[in-house]
Amino acid sequence: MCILKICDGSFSYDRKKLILNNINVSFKRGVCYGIFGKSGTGKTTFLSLLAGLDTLTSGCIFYDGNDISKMNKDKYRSNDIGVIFQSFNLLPHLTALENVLLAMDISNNRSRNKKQDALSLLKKVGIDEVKAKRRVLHLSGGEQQRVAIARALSYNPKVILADEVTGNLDKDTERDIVDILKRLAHDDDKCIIIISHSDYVKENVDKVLFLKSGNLKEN
Amino acid sequence: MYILKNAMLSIKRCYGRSILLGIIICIIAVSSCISLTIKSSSDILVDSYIEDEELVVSFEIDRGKLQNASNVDKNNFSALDVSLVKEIANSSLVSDYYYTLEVSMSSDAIDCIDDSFIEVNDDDNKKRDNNGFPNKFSNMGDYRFTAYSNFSYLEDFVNGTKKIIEGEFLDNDSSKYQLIISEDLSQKNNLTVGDTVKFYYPSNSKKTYKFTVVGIYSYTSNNDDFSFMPGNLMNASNQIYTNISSISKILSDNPSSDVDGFKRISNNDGLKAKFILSDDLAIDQFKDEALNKGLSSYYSLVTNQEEILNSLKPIKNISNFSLSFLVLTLIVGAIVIIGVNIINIRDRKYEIGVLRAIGMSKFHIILQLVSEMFIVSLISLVIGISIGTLSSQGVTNKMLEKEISSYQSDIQSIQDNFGGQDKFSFRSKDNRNTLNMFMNSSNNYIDKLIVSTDFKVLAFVFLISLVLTIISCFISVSFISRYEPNKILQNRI
Repeated sequence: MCILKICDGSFSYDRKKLILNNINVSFKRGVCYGIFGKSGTGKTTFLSLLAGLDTLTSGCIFYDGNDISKMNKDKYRSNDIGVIFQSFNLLPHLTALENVLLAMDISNNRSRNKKQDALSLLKKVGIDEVKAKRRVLHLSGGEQQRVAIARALSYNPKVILADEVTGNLDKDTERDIVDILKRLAHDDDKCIIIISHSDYVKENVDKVLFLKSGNLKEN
Repeated sequence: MYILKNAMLSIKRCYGRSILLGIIICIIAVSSCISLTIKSSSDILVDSYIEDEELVVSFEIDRGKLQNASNVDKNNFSALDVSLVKEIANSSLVSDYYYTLEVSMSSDAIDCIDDSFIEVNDDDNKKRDNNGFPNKFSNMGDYRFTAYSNFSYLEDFVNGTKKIIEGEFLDNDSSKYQLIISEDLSQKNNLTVGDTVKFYYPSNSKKTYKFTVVGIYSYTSNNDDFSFMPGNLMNASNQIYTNISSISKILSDNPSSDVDGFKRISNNDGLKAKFILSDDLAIDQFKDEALNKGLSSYYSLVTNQEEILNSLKPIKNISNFSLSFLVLTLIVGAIVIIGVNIINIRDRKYEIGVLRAIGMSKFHIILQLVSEMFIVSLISLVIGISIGTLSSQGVTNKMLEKEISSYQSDIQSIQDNFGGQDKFSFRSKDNRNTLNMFMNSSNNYIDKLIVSTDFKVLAFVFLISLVLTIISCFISVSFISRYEPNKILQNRI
C-alpha cells in the first residue's frame, strides 16, 4: 500500500540549479528502502522534503493520499513521520527516557503508561533502564542513535526516515541498527527510508534507489 | 502540562543560565523594591507631614518699608493689637490662633542669672550702638516675661523640654499677678512656690508689680530664639512665664517711648500673634481679609511654609534620588535582560531546531520559553523583594544620614567662612545655652524615615518584572519565528 508519494517533485535552493528534478516515486508500507548517491546529490534534501522540513519548488508530496503542503507540518512531523538524524539531534540536557517521553508528549500521546511504553521502546532498541535514565551526552554514539530510533518510534509513525544513521557507527552497531529498522518494516508494517553510503545497508534493504543528477532511479 | 514540565526540567538542568538570569532579575527586584519603598514611604511622609504640620501665619512689621514711609504715614501707623488679633482670628479660614505678649522687667528684690557676654556699664553705650544710633536695648530689664493666650502652644512644655517640678502651671483666667520661674532662678534666690517678688518696668522703677510664684520649672535644653536679645535677658534661666492679664496691665501702665529714631510703634510691639489656617491654599485670601479688617499695610505676612519645606529637604532629596535610581536600574536592567535573552536564545537555537524538527509548534516553544522566564522571574522576584524589604530600612538610614551630614557640612562651611561657630554663638557663663543662629537650620531636618514595603510597592515591582519578562518574551518570539528547523540543524552539521 502506497503511503508516501512524490509527483513531479523538483527542488532548488536558489531557483537556478535544480537539486531534484521532476521526481516521481512512491513508497509502500512494510518495505525498507535505501537511497544511495554521491555526496552533494541531494539525498538529505530529499529526506527533508519528505519530513516536511523543506518545501518542494514544484510538484507535490502526498502522505496517505493527502498533500503535505496543505497539512499541519508540526502535526505531520509529530505524529505521522519519524525522522532519525545522522547527528541524532537529541536534547542534551534530557535523559534518554525524557527525550522519548518529550516526543510522546509533543505527539499528544494519551497513553496512561507513557513512561513504561518509553522504557519498553528503549529496551526494544537495546537501551536498558539504567542507561535510559542517563543524560544522552553520557551515552555512546551507537546508544544515542538507538535513543533517536526509539524517539522516532515513540508516537508510532507509519513512515520512518533515517538519514545516514550508521555513518558514525562501527560495523556491529551498524548491523544492529539496520536489523532494528528492517524488523520495523517487516514486523510492524512501517515504511522505512534509509539514506546511506554503506554497502551493508545496500545489501540488506528491500529496495535500493539511486539519486543522481537530480533524478531518483531504481537499481 | 508537558510544556511546564519541560520548562522546569530546562531550568533545573541548565541552571547556569537560569541562575544568571535569576541574579539579574533579583538585582533589579532588590533595587526596584528599595527605590520604590523609599520613594513611597518618603512621599507618604512628606504628604502627611505637610498635611499634619499646621500652616502657621503671623504678621511682622516691614521695618524697612516703615522707615522709608513719610512722617504722616508713620504717625498714622496702627500697630497690631489684641483686639485686632481676635478680629482677624474670627474667620472661617482660621482653625485656631494664639498670641503671646512679652515684656522685659527688672527687680531689685532678686538677682538674675548673670550673663557676662554683654557687659553694659557705659552710660553712653546704653543709649547708642556702634553706628551711633540710639540703643534700643537701653530700656531692657533682666527678665523676659512671656504670656501665652493659649498655653497648649507653649512648645517647650508640650515637648517636655521644660517641666514643672514644683507647684502648678499658670491660670490664664486669673487676674492675679502669677508667674512661674526657672529652677536656676529659684535656687539662686531661695524662692519657693507661694513666695512673692516685686518687679518693675525698666523705664519706670517707681511702679512695682507684686507677683506670686505659682510654679518652678526645670529645662533640659533651650530652643527659644534669644540670639538677638541682650545681656541677662538672653539667658534662658531668666525666662519667666506669666498670664496674659498681668502683661496687659504692665503694658497699659507704661506708655511707649521714643526709640529707633521714630515714635515707638506701640505698647503692643511685644505682641506676637500666630494664626493656624485651615486651608493651606488660603494664604492670600487670609491676608486680604486681615487688611480689610484693619491690619496696616506695613505688615508683611510670614508663614512657616519654608521651614516645613526645609525640614523635608533631605527626605525629598532621597525620594528624588530613589526615583532616578529606579529609572536607571530599569533602563540598565532592561538592556541587560534583553542582551542576556538574545544570547540565551542564540545558545538554544539547536534545542529550538530539534523541538521544531520533532513537531513542536512555534507557539508551544514560545510558551515553554515564556514559562521558563516567568518561573525564574517569580523565584527571583520573591528573593529580590525579600532582600529589598529587609534592607530598605538600613539603606534609607544610611542615605538620610549622609544627606543630613551633607547639609550640616554646608552649614559648617558657612560658619567657617565667618571664622567659626563661636562667632555666631552667644554663650552664657554656665555654658547651658549655646545659642547658635544656625541652630534652626541645622537641627530641624526630619532625621528618621520609617520605610515599609506596602502592597502598592509590591504590585509595582511585580509590574516592572512583568514588563521586563514580556519584553524578553517578545525578543524570544521575534527570534524563534525567524528560525527554520532545517536551517538550524543543517548549520549545526
